[in-house]
Amino acid sequence: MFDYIIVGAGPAGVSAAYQLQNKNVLVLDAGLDAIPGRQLPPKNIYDIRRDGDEIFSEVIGDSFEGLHNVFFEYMSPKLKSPLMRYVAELPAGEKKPESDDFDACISYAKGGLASAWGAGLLRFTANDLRGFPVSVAELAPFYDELTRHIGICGIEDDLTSHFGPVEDLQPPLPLSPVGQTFLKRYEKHRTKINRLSMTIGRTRPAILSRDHNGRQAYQFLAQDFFQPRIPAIYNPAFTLESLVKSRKVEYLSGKVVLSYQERDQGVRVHTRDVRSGITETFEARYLMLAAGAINTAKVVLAANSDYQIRLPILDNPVSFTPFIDPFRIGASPDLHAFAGGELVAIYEGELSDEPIQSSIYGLMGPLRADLAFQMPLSVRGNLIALKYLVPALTVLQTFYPDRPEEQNYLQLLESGTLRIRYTAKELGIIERHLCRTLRSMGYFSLPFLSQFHKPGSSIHYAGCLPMSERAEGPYHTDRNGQLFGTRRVFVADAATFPRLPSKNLSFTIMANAMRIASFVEKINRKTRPAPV
Amino acid sequence: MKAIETEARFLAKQLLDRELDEKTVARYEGACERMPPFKGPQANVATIIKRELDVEAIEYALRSTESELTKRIHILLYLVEGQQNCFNVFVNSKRSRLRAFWQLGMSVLRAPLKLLKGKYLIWRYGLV
Repeated sequence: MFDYIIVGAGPAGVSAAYQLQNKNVLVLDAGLDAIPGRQLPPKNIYDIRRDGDEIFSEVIGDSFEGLHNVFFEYMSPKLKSPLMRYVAELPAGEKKPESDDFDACISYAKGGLASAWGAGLLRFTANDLRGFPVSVAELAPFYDELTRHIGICGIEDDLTSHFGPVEDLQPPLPLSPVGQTFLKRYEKHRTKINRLSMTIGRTRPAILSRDHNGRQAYQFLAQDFFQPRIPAIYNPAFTLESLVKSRKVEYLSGKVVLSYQERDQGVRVHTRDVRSGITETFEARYLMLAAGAINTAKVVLAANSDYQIRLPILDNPVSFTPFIDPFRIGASPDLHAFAGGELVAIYEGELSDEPIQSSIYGLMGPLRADLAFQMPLSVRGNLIALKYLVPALTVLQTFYPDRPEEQNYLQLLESGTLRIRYTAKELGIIERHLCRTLRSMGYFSLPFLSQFHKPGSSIHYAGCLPMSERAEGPYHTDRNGQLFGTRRVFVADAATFPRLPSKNLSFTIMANAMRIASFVEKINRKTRPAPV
Repeated sequence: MKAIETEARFLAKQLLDRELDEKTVARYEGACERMPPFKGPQANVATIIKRELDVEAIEYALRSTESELTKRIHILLYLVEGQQNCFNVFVNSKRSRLRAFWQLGMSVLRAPLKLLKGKYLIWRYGLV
């Protein structure tokens, strides 16, 4: 029997496995993965296109996967690209949650949704952790350990008080021309911008500016939207594979966990093989659920055969607001610059009782065709607009916090499918303020240009099994992730988060998973029978 | 020449001033075959091509999430973006503020005229 079974191989599951390495741990995971050997040439994608190299299969796809948004409802440009599709694909037998008002994106991939993330890893502050029964001091050692293990870049700047210490950070990646100009203008108008309750600085991405732990530094190939497993962009799959290779963790992919059953001396975990459909059972002294908030909730509900209860679901409502810098219209873009989010803006003012965070990025990453009908002109006009405006455009992706509300819930149906109901919030106040504030820096937009995507689009889900100092009742967890009414079942992902601040939650998911794993290990050591 | 090939080449010529290679034409055909059926009346593409009408104006007048013509043009744009001979359609290789403002300005001024022209052509030739 294993000491620990961990369900899920995303940021939470792998962080827990990393904490429990060498301790008789099995990771169970559906484990969908990138197709080995299928990748773009190691060359900047714009150079590839300019040189006429063939990349149709990798960018559009032999089954035209890249045309998803032409045929069907909107999917993130990254997730629709052929080589990245596996991240959001459903294994056989699994269905998307049923919902008219929530666009759930669930990953069964090795590495989880982190296989396609923007890689921003930001520590929660005490303010972010309000309502959590966990302190910054408790998470700090795990944030530190992860920083050293993963390789995160960043710098001391105006956002250091929001993002934590800079020890062990790699030097930041060079900013793109768009990012450089943005930051320079902020620095020039800092006093005014701060008076408008906004602070701007560098993000902290898990992207290597230097080689680290056998992974090569970022190569500026502008392939982030198309190529999975770029070594410089951290993917929990890298850690998992390293642990498996060194036999510190056992890993079984192709297993979807259906439910579990707690017994006297352990927990039985019931799985279905994604290829054969055969069900199989595994046993461990302790179970850690880390399949992502929605899937973890599903497993818990199935284990209890509960088709009545409505569990809370949290999501960061998100908006996208484009800003134009007139001085960069007609600029020749730097095709070798970083194509992801470089900067962050944080609003802390009267319009919100919590800080609101916006990621700032240019548009050099996705295909221009993705944006072709976002402009209001005729086709030729739109192409001209794309050509000359993209180098001048900056987008602010604004995340709002979330708290449990009665009308936002998920429920397991007897068919085995989840139903999700979520009422979209009225947004727009912050976007209006952003427009006013950035105008002082020479960036122009209008509030009506902000796009508010359907709930679920942030792909930041949490709160289904909320934690408190002591678990308050069924489907609650205590401060150590222990599920109410169980002795051996722990929840290690964002299902335990009692609220969702605006700040990206990934780093805290990982640190918290390590913290919970550390606790589970302590109690196992106390209760484990002595070897005969 | 198959109708779909004629269509692809016509759209590329009218909208991009570019020729398509055989591979792209075949891909265009493959992609169009995968399109789900559309609700509501759609543009008569065959008439547009036969009469060599201003497809840019017509698409603009018809543009919506349910316009098959818009989707077909969108498919074409995806397919050609990776083509070497279309690189400069999408990416500005040289700093050119004057040209940018001029072309953008003209596009904005042309837009309402294109829209009116599109509506007229649809009515004149019974295209929907």
